[in-house]
Amino acid sequence: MAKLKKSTLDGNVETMLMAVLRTGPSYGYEIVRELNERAAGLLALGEGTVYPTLHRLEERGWISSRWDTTTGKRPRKYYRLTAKGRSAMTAQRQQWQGLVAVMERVLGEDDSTQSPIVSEGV
Amino acid sequence: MSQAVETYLDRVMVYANDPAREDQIRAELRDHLELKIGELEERGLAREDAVFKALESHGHPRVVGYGLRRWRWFDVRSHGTARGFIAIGPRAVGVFAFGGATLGIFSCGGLSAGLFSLGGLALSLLVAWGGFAASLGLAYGGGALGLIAIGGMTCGVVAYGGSAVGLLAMGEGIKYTLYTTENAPEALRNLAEIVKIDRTDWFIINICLLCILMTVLAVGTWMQQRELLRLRRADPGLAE
Repeated sequence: MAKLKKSTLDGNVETMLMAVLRTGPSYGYEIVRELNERAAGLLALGEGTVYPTLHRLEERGWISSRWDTTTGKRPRKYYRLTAKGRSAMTAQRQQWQGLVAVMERVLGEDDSTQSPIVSEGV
Repeated sequence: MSQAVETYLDRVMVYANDPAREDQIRAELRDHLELKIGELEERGLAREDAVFKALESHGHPRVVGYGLRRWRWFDVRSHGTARGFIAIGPRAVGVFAFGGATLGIFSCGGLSAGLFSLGGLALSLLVAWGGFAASLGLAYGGGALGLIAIGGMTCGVVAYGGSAVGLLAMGEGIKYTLYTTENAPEALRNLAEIVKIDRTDWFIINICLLCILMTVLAVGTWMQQRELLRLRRADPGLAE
C-alpha cells in the first residue's frame, strides 16, 4: 500500500493523535512513535509537525498538558485527553466511519484486485 | 547538547516568533530530538548521522515554526497561510486578508474571496470588484457576474455594461434582456436604480477602489519583504 499523502491526512491527524492519547497520558516523542507503529510505516509525517497539532488541540481544550520536571531529568511535557476531547473524538470517529462507508460504496471494488478476464481461444 | 539541534531550534523559533512560549517550545522539541537521536544511536548510527537523521525527520523549521504560531491580531508570513485579524501572506485568512490568495470578511489579493473582495479574481457574498468579479450581491469588473453586475462583460439579474446579459440588461453595447426598464417588475427596477449612479460617481468609486487595491498590494508586499528580512537577519541560513 502506498504511503498516505499529506493532503489525504489533513484534518485527520488530530483524530489520530487523540486516538493515541485515549490509551493514557503521553509525550510528543512517544505519541509519534506510537502513531507510526499503529500506522505500520504508511504515514509520512514530519515528526515536528505533530506539535502544532497538539498545541491546537490543547487550545481547544480537547487535550491538557503538564510538565514533568523531575530533578535530574530533561523537562518533559505530557498530554492527556480531556472529557471534551473524548466526546470530540467519538464524533470524529463516527464521521470518519461514515465517510469510509460512503467511499467504499461509491468506489466499488478495486479493478486491480479482480481476476483478469480470460478470453477463450477462438 | 548538539549545536545542530540548537541551530534547528533557533530557526523554528524565528518562524514561530513567539517569545512568550519560546522556552517551553524549545524544551519540548529538544526533548523529542534528543530522544530520537538516542534511539538512532542505539540502532548503530554515529552521533553526527543520528543528529542529521533526527533533524531531517522532524521536518523543515519553517513548517514546524509557522505551524506553532498562534492565531494573532496581526500575522505576516513569507510562506504558507497567514491567519489573524489582519493577515498578510501568499495565502491569507482573516478579517482583513491581503495577499496572493485570500479569504476574509474584507479580502484583497490576486484571488480573493469573502464578504467584500477586491482583486484580480474576486469572489464575494456582498461586493466584488476586480478583473473578474462574481458576487451574490454587487459585482463590478472587467467581467462581472452577480445579482447586480456592472462592467465590461456582465451577466446578472440586473446587468449593466458593454455587453450585458440578464433579466434586465442595460448599457450602450450588446444586450440580451428579458425585460426593459419600462416593463420590468418592481423589484428589478429597484435593483436597477443602484446602477443608475452618475457616470462620474462610478468613475470616482473605481479610482478609489483601485487606489485601495494598489495601496494594499504595495503595503502587503512591503510587509512580506520585511518578514523575509527579519528571517534573514535572525539567521542568514534561512535565506533560501
